[in-house]
Order: sequence, then structure tokens, then C-alpha cells
Amino acid sequence: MRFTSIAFKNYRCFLDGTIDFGDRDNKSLNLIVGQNGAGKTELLFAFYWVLYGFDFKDLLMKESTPYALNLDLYRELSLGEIDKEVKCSVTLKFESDNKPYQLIKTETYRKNKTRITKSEESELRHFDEHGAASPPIRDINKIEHVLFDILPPNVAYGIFFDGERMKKLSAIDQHSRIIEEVISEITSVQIVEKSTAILRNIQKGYTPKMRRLKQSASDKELIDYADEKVEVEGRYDNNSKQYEENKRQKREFGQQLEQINSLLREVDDNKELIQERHNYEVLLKEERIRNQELIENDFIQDLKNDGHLLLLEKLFNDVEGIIKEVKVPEGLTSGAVESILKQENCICGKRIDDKHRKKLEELQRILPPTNLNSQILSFATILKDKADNTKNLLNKKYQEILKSDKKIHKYESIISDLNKKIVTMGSDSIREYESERENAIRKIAVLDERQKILEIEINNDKHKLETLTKKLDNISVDNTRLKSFMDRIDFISKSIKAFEEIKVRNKKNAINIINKLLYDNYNSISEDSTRGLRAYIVNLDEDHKYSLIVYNEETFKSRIVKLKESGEYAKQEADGFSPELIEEKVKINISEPKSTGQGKVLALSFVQSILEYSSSNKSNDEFELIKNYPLIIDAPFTEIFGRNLFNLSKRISSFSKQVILMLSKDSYEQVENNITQFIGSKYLLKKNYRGKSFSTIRREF
Amino acid sequence: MAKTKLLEHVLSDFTEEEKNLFKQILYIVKQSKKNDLIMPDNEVRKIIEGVFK
Repeated sequence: MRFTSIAFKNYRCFLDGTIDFGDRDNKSLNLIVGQNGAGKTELLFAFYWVLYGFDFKDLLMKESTPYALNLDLYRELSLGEIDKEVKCSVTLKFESDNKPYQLIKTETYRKNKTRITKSEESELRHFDEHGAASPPIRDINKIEHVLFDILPPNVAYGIFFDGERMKKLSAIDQHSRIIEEVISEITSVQIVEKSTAILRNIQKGYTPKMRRLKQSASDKELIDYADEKVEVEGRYDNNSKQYEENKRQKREFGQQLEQINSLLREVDDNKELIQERHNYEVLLKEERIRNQELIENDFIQDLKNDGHLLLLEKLFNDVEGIIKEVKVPEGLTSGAVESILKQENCICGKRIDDKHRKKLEELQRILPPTNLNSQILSFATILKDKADNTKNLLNKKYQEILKSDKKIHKYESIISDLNKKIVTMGSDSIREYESERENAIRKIAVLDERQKILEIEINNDKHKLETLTKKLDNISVDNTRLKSFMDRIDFISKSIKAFEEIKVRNKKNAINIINKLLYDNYNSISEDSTRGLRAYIVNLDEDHKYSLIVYNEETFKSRIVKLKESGEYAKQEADGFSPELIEEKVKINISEPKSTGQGKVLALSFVQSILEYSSSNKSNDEFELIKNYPLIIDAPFTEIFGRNLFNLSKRISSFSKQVILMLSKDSYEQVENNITQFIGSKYLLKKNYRGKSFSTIRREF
Repeated sequence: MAKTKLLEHVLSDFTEEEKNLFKQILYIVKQSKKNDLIMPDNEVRKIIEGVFK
């Protein structure tokens, strides 16, 4: 599919003008350049509006005009005469399978007494090889039938882009509906779905016919067997579906159980740690009490009782020192020293010099007035012994206090370490998890039981069906019409099943192919690929299905090695997880957050991949069509810099056979050298004002 | 799995006659989608029912 032109009349900011997406020398780029507010995003929305309808009220946060008619014309109309009407329209021309089409959407605004009313109409034509137009289709349902087939809305939402849509597309933390819808459409199951729907309709129409045939059938046995076969077949199909659903649910509950068990294992580990912490808290409390007792009851008490001895000892040491130094005779008093000081010579006969005088003056101060110094000296000796004992005792107790302090510090440090290890989880949460675990175990048991019953029933019915088919084959059929009709019904049932299987398998294959393309395309565009980052679409894990993620390939490989070494990989395989799912879960766990620019690069790599997939050669295939879709993209380069910008601008023209690219002037100048050679047409949008504000469309080449 | 192999795999329990019939249905639906302005489903149904007879 390719857009050939879009023309406007009184539509939003475009009062008139046409953009011709000429196919000059098969160049893919149709460039639209305009400053902010010149109408680039309006142009993007015009495609949605004309193809699928678009409610501009959805844009109220960003835009001031909630309708398709130009704002100034709307105002003029609302102030003008009653019964006056104004039309706005968009004409879109495009080609699909080399056939030209023209779609015109018109809205008529009419002023009545109280308000402005709006009516809309669309018209679709196609042209033959001589340019002759088909009769117009005006029935909106018929138009949609054609348009949705040529360009399904879900695909358009994946290939018509503005910045907001791009951000949504690369959102990692949620199941992405856009990606799911684009993939569903792009994997071309339309033919399969249409075939299934038609066969179901035929099957439905056969029921009354079969009843009539049975009534007229002559062979009673044949009818009974045929009835039984239909019944058994229905049950067999139903049970088979239930069996698969059972398996899926069992797997889901198994995963849930594993998660809960792992959480509760943490809680159990916590319990041990909490007990250990409690033990140390008890020890700490006891030690603090002991420490307090050592300080207050022992050390301080002893200090109170015998501490004065230490002071006295100090005092008597001084006295003893002086007495010994001066060699004071026994019985000397302070009065005697005073009388000596009055003389020039000492009692020993030596002259009293200044040094001696100073000592004697000190001696005079400390000696008792009466003859007591010999008693003092003997008392000092006794006191010294006692003081020594006290010192030893206090020292011993001080050492014990130090030991106790060390223990307290050790216990505090252990408790602090344990606090770090203990994950806080309230008892309510634990109870909740335990109840969920019981619930999951119960449900798995119920599912197990059900699965066994289903297995038996399925096997029995399979056997019954074989027997009935043989019986039916063996019966000599009088009524050949009924027999042939039964065969036809059998064939339709088988075919519907086959189509359903094709749909599932085809989608799975397609996602694998798209993932391979994404891996290569992201590598080519993203600067981050040089540091090992890879892109991936989640497609097996139900919780993250269709998320677009990036992960580091080296980290992924090392995690897988670790899982294999620890035996966890084999354990998960034994639990029924496929290697693909185990590996995908690792990718999800190690997926990295993205900046806006990185998200855009990822989203664009995805877009490139789906466009490549849809246009890839499927000539040998019997149920897929080749689809070439155009890419319409507004401001893809903003917030993208450096190598990413270079790579992307160099490659964007190759994303599709038609890329309608809308750029601001600045953005265009940044990438001009990289895109010039691919430009097929270039238009400039410019904001103007001449009584009305509007944008002009001018072709540059 | 290659697409053609996928079809063979899915139709493995079909007889040759059934396989041909199945491929005819697929061909009709595929052609109907390629047709000008797309053939309505009831028209396609009539053609397929014709194949059965």
C-alpha cells in the first residue's frame, strides 16, 4: 500500500492545499518540514481522521479545537446567519495491490437557531487500469470493510507515529496492547480467520439439513452411530480444550506457588535470624545490667568506701618524701623547725642555704605542732598497704567493666548486622502468603485430579470415536446422501481445527522471526548495542507478554551458565518450563530501564522489524499475503543524539517503500546530509495569518 | 518451521483428497481478499459450498 496524495479543504489548520507523495525515482522519503505549530501533527491526525474517524475532543489537553472544521470558520459560522453551512473535507488517494483508490471524508457544519449541528459522509472509489472510476461506496460499513482490509486500524496505530505513541510502544513495565495488536494484524491471520468463520457458518447451516436427512434415512443403526459420534466428538473436543486449559492453569498456579514458597523461605530464614537477634538482645540487656552493677555497686561503692585512702596515701607520700629527704629527726615538730629557721645554722651544724630554707619552710607547714611525726610515719606505712590493696581491687573491677563494655559493643554490632539481614515483613502479609500458598496447593490438587479424569475421558472417547468410525464405515449404507453429508461435516470440523492450529503456530513463528529482525535492527541502529544491549519482544511469559525490553547479552549468558551450574535450569525444565521460557524469564529479570531517546530507538527498531516482516516474501506460503505498509512518523529524531541519530537518519528511508517523515526545520538541518539522497518529495508547512490563522503547504521539490 | 512445512504438519492426518479440498478453500479465500473491493463473505461461502458438491 502507498499513499499518493492528501488534499484539504477548510480542515483544521489547512484551509486548502494538496500534498502529492510523488514516487520520484523510486525514492521512499516524503519529507514534510515545518516549525512547531505549522501543522505537522495535524497532518498525521488527518490520516487517522479520513481513514478511521478521529474524535478531536481526545486532543483537548493539547489542542484548542475539538472539531475538524477550521477554528476561525467555526467561529464565523457561530456568529453568522441561521441556516448557513460550511464544509470541511480531506481527500486521500492511495494504491493497494497497484489499484488506485480515492477516499473523501466531508463534514458539514450547519448553524441552526440554538447551536451548530454536524453531519458527515465518506465516499470510496477505486479505478481500473484505464483510470475509469468504480461507482462510489457511501455505506460506512462497506467502506470500513474495504479499508480495514487494506490497512487495519491496529496496524495503522503501529505505523503512524508521534512522540507520545512511541513512548507507549516502548513502555516496559506493562503488557503492551499496541504491540500485541500490531503483531496480531501483521502476522496475517486474516485469511485463516476468514476461512474459519466461513466454515463455521457452513457448519451451522448444515444442522437443519442433517436433521432432515436423518429423518428420511432408512438405516436406524447408522443414525444412532452418527448421533453418538457427533456427541462423542463434541465431548472429545471440549475435554481436549479443558485439558489444555487445565495444564495452563496448573502451570500458572505452580509458578505462583514457587513465588510464594520463595517469599516464605525468606520469612523462615528471617525467623531464624529474628530468634538469633532476640538471643543477642537478651545477652545485651543482661550485660548492660551487669555493667551498670559493676560500675555503680562495685566500683563506685568501693571508691566511696576506700577512695579517701588513695588521697591520704598521696598526702602521706608527700610528707614521707619530704621527711626522708630532709632527714628530719624523729620527734621534730613544726615549732622546732620554726626555731631552726630563725638560726643561721641547722641543728646538724651545717649552714642553712636557700634550698634548705625552702624545704624547712615546707616541713614547717606539714609537720604537726606537737611531736607526732613518728606516729604519722608509721600510720603512713599502714595506710600505704591499705591503699595498695584498694588500688588493686579498683583496677581489677575497672578491667571487668572494660570487658563488659567490649561485650556490649560486640552484641550491639551483631544485632545491627542481623537487623540488616532481616527483611521486614508484617505478620499480616505472612498470613496472607500462607493462605495464598494453601489456596494454590488446593487448586493444583483439584486440577491434578481433574486432569486425571480428563485424561481417562479423552482416551475413552478417542477409542470410542475409532470404534464408531469403523462401525460407520462397515455399515452397508442405504442412504449414501447421509453418509456423504457426514463425511463433509467431518471434513469441516477437521479443517476448522487445522485453521486454528495454523493460526497459533503461525503467530508463534512470526514472533520468532520478528524477534530475529528486531535483534539485528536494534544492533544496527542503537549505540547501546556496542555495550552488549539487545532488544527483545516478550512472547511466552504471560505477565510481561508483548513488552519490548532491552537486556545485556553478556549478563544473560552468565546468568544462564549460573542457572545451569546450580541445577536450577534442570529443575525448572523438570517442572515443565521450556528452555525458551526459562531463558525469556532471565531476559525479563535483567532488562534495563530506558531513557526517552533509548525508548524511541527501541520503538523504531520494532517498527522497522514489523514492516520488514509484513513485506517479506511469502510467495511459497499458502495463507499469508505480502503487505507493504507506509510509515508515517512525526518528529522521530527529537531526544535522539550522537551515533543513534546518525544511524537512524541513515536507515529510516529503508524502513518501508514509503516513509512520510515530518521534521522541524532544526531537526531537518541536523540530518539533511543523511537523508537527502532518499527524498522523493519535500513540502514546507508554514503558519500564516490573514484574517484567519492557517497553515500553507508549499512544494519545494 | 517453514510455512509450507507448517501446512503439511497441520494437515498430516488429512487424506490427499481432503488436503486438496482444504487448499482449495484457502485459495478461494485468499483470492477473495485480493479481489477488487473485497468479495463479501456470503459470496465466498457460496463458492466454497460449490467446491463440496
